[in-house]
Amino acid sequence: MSGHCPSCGADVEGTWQACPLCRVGLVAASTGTPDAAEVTPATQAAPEAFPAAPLRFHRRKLRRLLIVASVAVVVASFPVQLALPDLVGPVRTVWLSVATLWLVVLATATRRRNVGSLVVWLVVLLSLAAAAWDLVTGGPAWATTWAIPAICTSANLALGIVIWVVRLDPAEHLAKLALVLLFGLVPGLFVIFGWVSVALPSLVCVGFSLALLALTIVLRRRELGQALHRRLQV
Amino acid sequence: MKWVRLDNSANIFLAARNQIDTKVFRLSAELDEEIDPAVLQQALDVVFEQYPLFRAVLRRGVFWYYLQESARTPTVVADDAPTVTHLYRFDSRELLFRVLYRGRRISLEIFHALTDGTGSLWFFQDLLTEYVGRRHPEYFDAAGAAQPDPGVKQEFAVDAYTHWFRAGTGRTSFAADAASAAESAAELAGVDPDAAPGPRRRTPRLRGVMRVRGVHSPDLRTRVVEVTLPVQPVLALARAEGVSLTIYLTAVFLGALLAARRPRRGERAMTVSVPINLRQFFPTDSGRNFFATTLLTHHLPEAGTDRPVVLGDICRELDEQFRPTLSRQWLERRIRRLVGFERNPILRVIPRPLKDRVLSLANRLTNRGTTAAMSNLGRVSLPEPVAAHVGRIFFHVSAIRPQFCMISHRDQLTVSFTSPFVETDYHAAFVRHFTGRGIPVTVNVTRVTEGEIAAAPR
Repeated sequence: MSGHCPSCGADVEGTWQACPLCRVGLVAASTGTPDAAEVTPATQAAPEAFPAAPLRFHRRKLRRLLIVASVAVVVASFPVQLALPDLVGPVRTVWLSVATLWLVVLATATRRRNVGSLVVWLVVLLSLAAAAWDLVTGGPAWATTWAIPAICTSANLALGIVIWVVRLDPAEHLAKLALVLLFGLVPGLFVIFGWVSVALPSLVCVGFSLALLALTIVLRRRELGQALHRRLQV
Repeated sequence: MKWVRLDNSANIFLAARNQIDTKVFRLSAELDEEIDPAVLQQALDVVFEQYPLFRAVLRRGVFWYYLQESARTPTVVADDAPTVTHLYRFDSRELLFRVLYRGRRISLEIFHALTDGTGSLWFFQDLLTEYVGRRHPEYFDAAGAAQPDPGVKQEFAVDAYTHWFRAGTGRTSFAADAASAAESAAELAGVDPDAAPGPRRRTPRLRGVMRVRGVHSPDLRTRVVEVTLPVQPVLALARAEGVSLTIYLTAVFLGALLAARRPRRGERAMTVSVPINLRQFFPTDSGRNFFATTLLTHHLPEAGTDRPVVLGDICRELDEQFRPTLSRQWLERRIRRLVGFERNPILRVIPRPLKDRVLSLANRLTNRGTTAAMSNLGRVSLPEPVAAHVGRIFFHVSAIRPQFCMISHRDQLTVSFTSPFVETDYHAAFVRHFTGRGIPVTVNVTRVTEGEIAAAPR
């Protein structure tokens, strides 16, 4: 027991110097505490009933830091582009990379418990970054020809490994697997629309996606059905 | 793998959950000696077997959430984090409760979508009984009565809303369903549904309801203020006003808020959300959520009239509104409307993320029209040999606005205030109300600010 508050008249538990309600210095505890039962409230020797867990973050400080850092970066980017006109391309590339990195970090932080959904995120972010890079450099359809099909194929490979080798609960991941496989078919559209200079990477991606999809439906039909039934209940 | 669709109220909890309000609540008991984690784990293993519902993890469907049975087993953990932190993460499949120990306290934290206060209290009472029984086998074996019954208690099954309020064939429209339910209830009661019992005056529009504002804690942890009072003297005060303990403490709470905060211009009323346990009207053994809430209003005096706040007036005003809600008919009407919403065929096919947005928006509007909330779990009774080793029992919930929860064990009543703000002004006013009447009060407060945490003993 910390003591008695002369302002509100309560007996304060724990190790407070001042009353946590009134901020008034505590005096020696009164005797009329409601300890009528055999079990008495915590004594001085015992730890406080609630842990004084360290702050996980300090909202105000965090916000201040983020705002200051963002403003500094934006302000700094102007003199850099003025001073080095030849470096506009590389500077933007660095910007894009940093942005993608932060997005991936964010995705990892919020989805770290779910590998499948993290892969979807990575595919989307990396593909967007590649397309943006292409737009900036004006290259010969590098993103749609090479980058995105490669990203999609490796993502499918990663998911295949996660589900078939690591063997997480397959029923849980089937819905996401189907999503990413469909996603892997997007490079096929690139070929149809004629956005590629070489068709092979996209065709490999489409072929791999279809093979994995077919294999999944054949081998895991029951689990897939159950998962769909649960998710589509009306 | 067993699975069931989430019950009615739980859907709202999921939509309303946010960084501040985790929709987690905690039951704690203070024992007469340090907690032995190994024994607590044994007790938990035994009780966990009897409550299949507690095996549930929450999963997201396209249209609704559902509870799925899991093979995970709970482990007791030392209580060294802030209270009522998140229990459900959409991308994890963890159990929806945790059992904690610290010093002489055992705590049970539960995600509200799993069960309500009453359902969790059944689990907690069995856990305490099992723990104390294992700590003191000598005279429990002799008595042979204190051990909880073996066998399954809360089955992984249909919720009580569905059991009691199956809304017809499911082919009627929401409006028709709600109306017919209201009419049949009114027929039973012999009154016109539009003139059904309710508040004397209408609750003012959202803008007219007083809202408590404050400074959020640095990392959004909940401020808990536990107030311990002797039951009998407080009960005597309530009886002197001719109202129940629930209404009396709610009135004192509103009085304390008014003493600490001056209503802003245009604020003409204070409202308190009060849950009603439906099990007393519609008996069920289901441990899943089964309650309805009612909103009680206290109208503030007109601006300019400097009329002092009289506690008795608040008591009577709240009591007049609360009494009629404690009837089977009134509750039936209210619940049928809710269930009708859930069973409406058009609403059923709206994808879950959209439903979540709509419910979340509705919840935000409700919050704007609510000054405070309270919850009363009543008197806990444990088997006598167990009760002798258990002192105070506490109960609190995460809160987006000022809230208090009350529960009593033997002759000690605990009132636990929670709020996302660091301020403690109205708490002090509440305490002064009782110390001023010669009633001894003990307070225990969580540390939330940087300074308070730094001053804690290491």
